[in-house]
Amino acid sequence: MSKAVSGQPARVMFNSTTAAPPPKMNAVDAVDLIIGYDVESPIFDGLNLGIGRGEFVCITGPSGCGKSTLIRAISGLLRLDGGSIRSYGRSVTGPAPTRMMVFQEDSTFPWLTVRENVEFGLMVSGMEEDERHILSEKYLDMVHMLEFADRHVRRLSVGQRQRVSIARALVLNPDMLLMDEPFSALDVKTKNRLMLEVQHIWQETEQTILFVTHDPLEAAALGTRVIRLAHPPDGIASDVQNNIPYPRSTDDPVVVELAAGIKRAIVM
Amino acid sequence: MALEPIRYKARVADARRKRRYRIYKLIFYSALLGGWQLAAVSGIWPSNLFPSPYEVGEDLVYGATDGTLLYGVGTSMMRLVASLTLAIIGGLILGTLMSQREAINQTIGSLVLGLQSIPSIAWVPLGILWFGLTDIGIIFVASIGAVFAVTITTYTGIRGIETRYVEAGRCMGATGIKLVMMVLLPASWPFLISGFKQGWAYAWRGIIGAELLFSFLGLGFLLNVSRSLNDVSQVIAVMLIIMLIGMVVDGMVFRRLEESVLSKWNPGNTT
Repeated sequence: MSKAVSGQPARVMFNSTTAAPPPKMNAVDAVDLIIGYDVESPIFDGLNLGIGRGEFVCITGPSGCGKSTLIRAISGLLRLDGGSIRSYGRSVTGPAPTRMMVFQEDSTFPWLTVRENVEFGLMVSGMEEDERHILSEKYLDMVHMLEFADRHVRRLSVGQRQRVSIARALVLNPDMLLMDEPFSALDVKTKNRLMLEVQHIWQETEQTILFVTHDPLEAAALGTRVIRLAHPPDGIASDVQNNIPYPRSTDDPVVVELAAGIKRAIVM
Repeated sequence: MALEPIRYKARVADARRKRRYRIYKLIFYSALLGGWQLAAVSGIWPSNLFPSPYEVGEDLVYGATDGTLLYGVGTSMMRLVASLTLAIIGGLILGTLMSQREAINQTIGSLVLGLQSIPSIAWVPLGILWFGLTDIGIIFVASIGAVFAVTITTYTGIRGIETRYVEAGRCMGATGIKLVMMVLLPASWPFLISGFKQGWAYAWRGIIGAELLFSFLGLGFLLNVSRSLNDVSQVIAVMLIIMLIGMVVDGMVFRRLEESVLSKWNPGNTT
């Protein structure tokens, strides 16, 4: 199935230009982004990025390049020092359930059960119990956690907790899903299974997904587009369309080849 | 299955150790009572100053049957519940505000630290002047003695919450009072419990002390009455009751609460 369309394995193009002026209703329009924990050496100094609706964008790059900083800025958790971020035309001023985040570290609430965790955001919005149940069951089923619904999360494995985190985000039907190295704490087997499931979820829900990972292989296996960040403050180093057909695995030779290409570019 | 015998052995050894300590306890308290009885009957001290455990026991039974002790216990406990409730509510609100607004922490927070160092008994004169010899006066003294301990542990607890829990809550739309009630307080619950425990200890000491000085019903008042009647055995009887209540509340209520909370709140192995 990784056999390619029309003999060309994947349409891969490396262009290190800043993106063309983004159209109005993008999922994300980041314009002239300036972020610096330290004024002398900013992480981003005028970064531009546009992400269209329904795209599955993976952001990768060397450690310290600002991958997490970028996704946290888009989520609204991080204040900008300059520039602006818009999501579907609305200015991002703080975190909101329209841009749900799945964190690198387990952030499920240990004092709640699996179901209560998934229903948390719905409860905040004041939804009735019956409606909450219907939605939580749907998404717990999607991440294959329905049988553990009434278990306390502290009795789950780390992989299962990340599944709960994903369900907890999807249940709010966000405009986009932000995933900040969600699989970095998992063992290889769990990670591979979850990677396939995320592809499936992306196809099923037609979500816009922004996925940060330090691993080019993971990025190549997941995204429809792979963005590589350079060392600060250089911003985007390459922006690659990735048309390898789904489902993809990290063993896929085409995926491996693409990952190698991205990696080489990192070294340069 | 293979591990079972080892675990079984460990459990048996554990049970045996526990039983041994229970026997030690029994011996210790019997010896204490016996020694006390011997010292009392030996006649070294006059019996009106050093009553025997038997006399104290008689006073306990007498106080229980004629209702004075029970009424005293009831009054003091009612005041305890009232002042602890006030202290917990006030402490949670103050501590939360201090943890969320640095300006409040720097201003009110510094005052709280100062007030915390005042022994609750030192509030008695103000309590009497402001509220007279009333329940409210005593509750004021006890709750103000406890509120700052609750405040400080609440502040510490909320400040210690893992950022990712707060960020997850904010991403899911929890802000303001919802963030406090649904994330901040639950996430710091183990701390809060230890704050309540401290608060209870301060409140209980405050109540007995205030009752002694206010001389208006309650166990502290009974201590005072017994003292003025030169009834040493009744003084000791009331002290035993005070100690007993302390042990029951500490051991039954708070230790159980802490144990259940720690097992439930611990996020478990996250590696």
